Amino acid sequence: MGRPIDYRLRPAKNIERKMLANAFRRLSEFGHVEEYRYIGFGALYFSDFILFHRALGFRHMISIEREGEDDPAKQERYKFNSPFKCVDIEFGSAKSVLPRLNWGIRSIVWLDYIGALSKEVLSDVAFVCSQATQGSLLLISVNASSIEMPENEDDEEEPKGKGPLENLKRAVGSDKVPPGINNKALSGWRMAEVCRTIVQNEIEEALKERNGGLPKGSKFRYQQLFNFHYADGAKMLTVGGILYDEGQESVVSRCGFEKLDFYRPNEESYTIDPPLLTFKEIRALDKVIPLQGDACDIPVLPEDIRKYEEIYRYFPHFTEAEI
Amino acid sequence: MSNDIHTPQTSESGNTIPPIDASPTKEFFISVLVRDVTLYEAISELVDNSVDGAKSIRGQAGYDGLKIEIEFDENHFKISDTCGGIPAEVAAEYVFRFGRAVGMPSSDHPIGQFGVGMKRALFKMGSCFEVESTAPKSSFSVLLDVEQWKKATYPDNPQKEKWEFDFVSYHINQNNPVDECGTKISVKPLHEHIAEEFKLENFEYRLIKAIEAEQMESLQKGLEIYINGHRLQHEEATLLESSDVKPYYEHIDVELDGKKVGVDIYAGVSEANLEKCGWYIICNGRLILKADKTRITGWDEKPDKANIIESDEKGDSGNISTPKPHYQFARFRGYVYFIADAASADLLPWNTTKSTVDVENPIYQAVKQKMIRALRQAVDFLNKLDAELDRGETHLDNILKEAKSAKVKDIAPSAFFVHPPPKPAPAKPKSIRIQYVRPPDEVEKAKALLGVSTPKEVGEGTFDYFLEMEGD
Repeated sequence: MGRPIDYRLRPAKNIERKMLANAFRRLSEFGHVEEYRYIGFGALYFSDFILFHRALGFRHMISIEREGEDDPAKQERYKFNSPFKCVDIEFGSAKSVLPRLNWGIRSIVWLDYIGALSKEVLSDVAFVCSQATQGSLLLISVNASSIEMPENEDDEEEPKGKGPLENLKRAVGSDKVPPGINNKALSGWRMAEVCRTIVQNEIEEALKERNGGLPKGSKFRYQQLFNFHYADGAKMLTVGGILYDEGQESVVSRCGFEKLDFYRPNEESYTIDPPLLTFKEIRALDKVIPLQGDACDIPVLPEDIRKYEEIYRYFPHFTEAEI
Repeated sequence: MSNDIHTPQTSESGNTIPPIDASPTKEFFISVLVRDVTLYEAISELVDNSVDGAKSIRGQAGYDGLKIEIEFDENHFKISDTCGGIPAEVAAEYVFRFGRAVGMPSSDHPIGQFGVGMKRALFKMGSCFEVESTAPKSSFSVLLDVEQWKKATYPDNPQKEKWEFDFVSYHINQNNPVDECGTKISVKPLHEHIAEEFKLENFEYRLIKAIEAEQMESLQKGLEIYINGHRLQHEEATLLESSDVKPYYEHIDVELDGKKVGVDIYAGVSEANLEKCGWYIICNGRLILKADKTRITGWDEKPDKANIIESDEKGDSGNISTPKPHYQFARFRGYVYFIADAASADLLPWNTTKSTVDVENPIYQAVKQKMIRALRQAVDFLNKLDAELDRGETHLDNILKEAKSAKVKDIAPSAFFVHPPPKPAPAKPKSIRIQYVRPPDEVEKAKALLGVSTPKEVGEGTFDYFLEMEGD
């Protein structure tokens, strides 16, 4: 009971998922939430699919899986592990799958990449912005570690450059990187901040192009809702928001996303930083929080208690078994 | 019907027949004019005009202390410089003319060759613009509301379109100090689609990169250019040089119909960077083509009999055609500088928007043959370098690592790209590179099983394990 939670189980990611489920509920102003189509990268475990189907009732879910595109045996394995009948698996990269989907359906698209920001990620973002119907949500998650930009799978030819700035320029193209930054400006969480800016710029440009063909009053807008920083291992960034046409400004207001305490509409981030607590400590804290100034005789650092209070509702339920 | 006053006509049924509106010629002119040019090119032209001003006052000397500042957002655009200003008389007679009138004074090696740049840029951007300029002996300001200008006709002859417009202020016989001399142009309001572009941060980044490249030479000479507060950086044109490696450099003078163009061609190798490799073409200090790897500069061309180099001690470059640019050529850099004075500037091989080379220009065609020859020499070397690295040999790579980056202006003439021969491949190669890809989760598993942390170690570990288990 005194052992800390195993961080290989990724508690921050788990918390993020639950926060997002909460946020998705607010889309009911646009229509029945269960009628949204959910698109994600389920991999073999489908954690997001399981949570979202249970919590929100999505009846139409697509997992994009780039593994096993030409390998029927691998495909069988993924299909076997699909958690529900309503989850379809589309094999191929996002780049090849997204264009063959029907975009007339309101969707929640969460492109949860393993790797770092790259030209391909940006082109997937631009593609979704160009096609998604109003009321859709787009989120992307990327690795934002600045010390080692992990190699992107397609990049067999060019070797890594020197330093994070050079790597970033090669990964996304030097004309997408804000001018005037140096390697220092990419240290720590600043890489995540720059990545957010690059994604934001990509979205704005894609919408500007889409709007070229649209009449006044129907132009598309994007409102960022989420800007998560978390690090179960490597530093990760999840940024995303809602796409809507300007005529629906009031519907977006009614959703009330700003009431969520993790709502972040601009460069300010929300850090998911679960404290390192033991099972026994968690159970004890659950009984007394929110403290609201009361004294607490549980011997945990006040800072950790504060962190726990912020996210306790989303804290993962792990069980431990003695064998 | 009278000729000077238009009398409304009446049809047989008694209805007034509307007159044919003659003013569309200005409208038509503007719409045709602005279609040729992109927003980037329009802004580049304004920068080119300022740089021409800098050339006029400094000549061949450096541009330290001179500045160009560009600012824009969704409501306005402004460019101001301290590059000498436009004399009021020149403004009156030439600058606002549509086309470059004969007799217009120009700097010694002008960039602003075509005369239409400023007007085109301003009409492209918005519907009202103001130009203020202070020159050493004069100053003026002009304010043009395009809609009103389109409608302007003569008071005594409303049928006739009036193309002239008036100065708001005009002063001559002044004595203005040099550091107050410059030009300021502002456009407000902007056309809606231009405002939408100006709102995008990506547009700003791309513009910065484009102008950094185009004005590479002027920036090197000390000119300061700012875009929305960002100071533009410049990279020097450099090539690796050492006792073993010498870049190709040749100077030629081309004469055509009494006009003369000087050409400097440099080619060699530098650090490996796919985005930066290729040919750079510069005319009168203005970069026209950056890092080009297309047929325009001779990549992917079949070898031409006239260009086949006889097999010599430099290597058997006679058999290679210029390649499609693949990664191993990421070290190639070529720089071609064309210089012409004002009288010969029309021979320079650029197009009207200075965005690419005019491939039909005869001078360029002659120069291109030399470029192809130089490219093939460098490519031959890079192929040998690549082959060596594949064998696990680093002899040529080490030579490059020892070489230093030399600025092109410091490079001595050399009819060939000089490089050492590769180490002859030994009968038994010292080591062979094996490369393969596997899915990330399998690699992770292998890492754990082998107790290693890098893909390289996984490769080595699995190979060794296999040999140990399966070999005798």
